[in-house]
Formats: sequence, structure tokens, C-alpha cells
Amino acid sequence: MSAAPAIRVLLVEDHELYRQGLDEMLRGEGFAVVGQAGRGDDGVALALRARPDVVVMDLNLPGLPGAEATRRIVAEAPEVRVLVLTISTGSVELLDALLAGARGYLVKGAPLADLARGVRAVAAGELLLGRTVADEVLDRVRRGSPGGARPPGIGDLSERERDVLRLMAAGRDNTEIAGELQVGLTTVKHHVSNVLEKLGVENRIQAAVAAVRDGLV
Amino acid sequence: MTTRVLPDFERRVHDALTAEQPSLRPLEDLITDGCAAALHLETELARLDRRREALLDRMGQDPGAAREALELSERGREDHDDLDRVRELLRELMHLRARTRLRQFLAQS
Repeated sequence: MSAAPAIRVLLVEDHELYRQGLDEMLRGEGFAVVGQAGRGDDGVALALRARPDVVVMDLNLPGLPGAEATRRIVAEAPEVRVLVLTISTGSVELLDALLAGARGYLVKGAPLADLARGVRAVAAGELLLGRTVADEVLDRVRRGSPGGARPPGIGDLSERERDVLRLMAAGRDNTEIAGELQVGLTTVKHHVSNVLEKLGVENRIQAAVAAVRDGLV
Repeated sequence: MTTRVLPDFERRVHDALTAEQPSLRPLEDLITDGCAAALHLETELARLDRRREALLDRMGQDPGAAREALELSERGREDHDDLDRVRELLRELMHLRARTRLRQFLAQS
């Protein structure tokens, strides 16, 4: 009886020490690591060339963010399954990656057994989502679907508030926004407060999600 | 590796925990350093376990196998202690990261 072929894995992570640790761990657990990349764009190129079973993808990458790299891989090679690596589950980037086609996520500090089990599960076609994150993804999909209840949207914002929201979604803080729009800090705070109130959200992250959802960015 | 890495990691965690206003990105890099150290320790522990199991099979025929298995157990205990300490520090860093994110949000709203 012949053993099943090893699951082929590609690692895309810019933190070299962690990447090497993953490589060592996965090889020790019987996986075949077919390549490593420290940049998002290199990761896409490698994935399309090597066509691994699973790509383990960091979110914050130089060259190309993990969510966009995921979208490109899934679009070109839908048989390749992407598993996202994250420090914690509360980020817009994680939701973006899941909506871009990632099959699940691993938390970086998880025990070795969970990491190995996660890669095996995704290779076998399973989805790997915690309950809270799954609820958030569903909520975002529902709010974006035509049949769903229409939440307050960017249509309620003034032109200036849209400019502010666009910059918020790009990760600018209030001082940077004031500089780019050439207005005072107090004015920016006023606009930010209006944006949050009109969108019915509690923080900048949720506002950024709304901006993405409504196609502002 | 751990005897070199852990004191340095502890010192950097201490610096981060006592900083007046830590920045998010270096903090997240430090957390990933800790995750890498934990991963390395767990991989080493798994390797020691596999080696120990192989030695147990030879224990009857090879008098040196028992001694080596004992040495591996001792190393495993040290690695376990280091792993517990790294995870404890990681928990503190994750709390600090949550506080830092909240502080940044409040400063910007």
C-alpha cells in the first residue's frame, strides 16, 4: 500500500524567522514545502508557477497586500487553496482576504498541532473559520447583497465627507487627512464624527469596511 | 537556540511594556518574533518526542538508549518551560496591542 502524497504548501510571509519556523514545522509534520516568498507579488508568481495545494499567506506584505495576492491567485488558479495567517481575528484585512477567496485563517500564535491541522483541513477542501469571523463575513456579504436590508450608506455623505472616508479607508490618521485636504484638525474630527454617525458605525475600521462595501475605494 | 533567544525576547517585551506610547507596527513585529520562537520550540519538542519514541523501541537491546532518552526528557522539560514563558509574554503583548489600538482609535476619533 503506498502512502498518500505529501500536501504541497507554499509560504508567503515577510517575517523571515516566522517563515523559517513554519517551514521547519511543516516539513517535520510531513508536508512538502514547495517554496517561500517574502513579498505578496512574488508569492502570486510562485503560486501560479508551482500550483501548490495550499498557500499559507500573511496579510501585511510588501509588494502586494495579502488580500489582493489572494484574489489574484484564486482568480488564476482556483484549485489552489489560500489559508491566511493573522496575528488576531479583528482586522478588516482578514475579512477582505476571506471575501477575496481565502479558505480560512490561522492565528500565528496557535499551537503547532492546530497549525498543522488547519493546513490539512484546507487542503482537504474544508473551510477554516471561527464562529465570530464567519458571522462577520456573512454580515458583510448580506449587507452587500441586493436582497439584504439596506444599511445607511455612503450616499448619505457629503462630497467632503466622502473624501474624508476615502482617506480613512486608506489608513490615514486625522493629522494626515487634514494635511491632504488642507483643512484644520478640528474640521477633520467633525467630518469623521459625521461619517461615523451617518454610516451607523462605531469606529474607523467599520467605516472603512463600509467604504469598501459601497465601492468608494 | 532558546537560551540565546528567550532573554533577548524578554528584554524587548519588557521595553515594549514599559514604553510610554508603543507603536502598533513594531509591536506586531515583536509579537510575530514571539510566535516564531514558540513555533521553533514546539517543533523542537515534537522532534524530541519522535526521537524518544524511537529510543523506547530499542531500550531492551541498547543500554545507551535509556540514558539518551533521559537526556532528551530533560531537554524537553527545559523547552516546555521556555515555551510556557514565551506564551505568557505573548499574552501580555496581545493585551498591550489591544490597548494600543484602542488608544490610537480614541486619539483619532
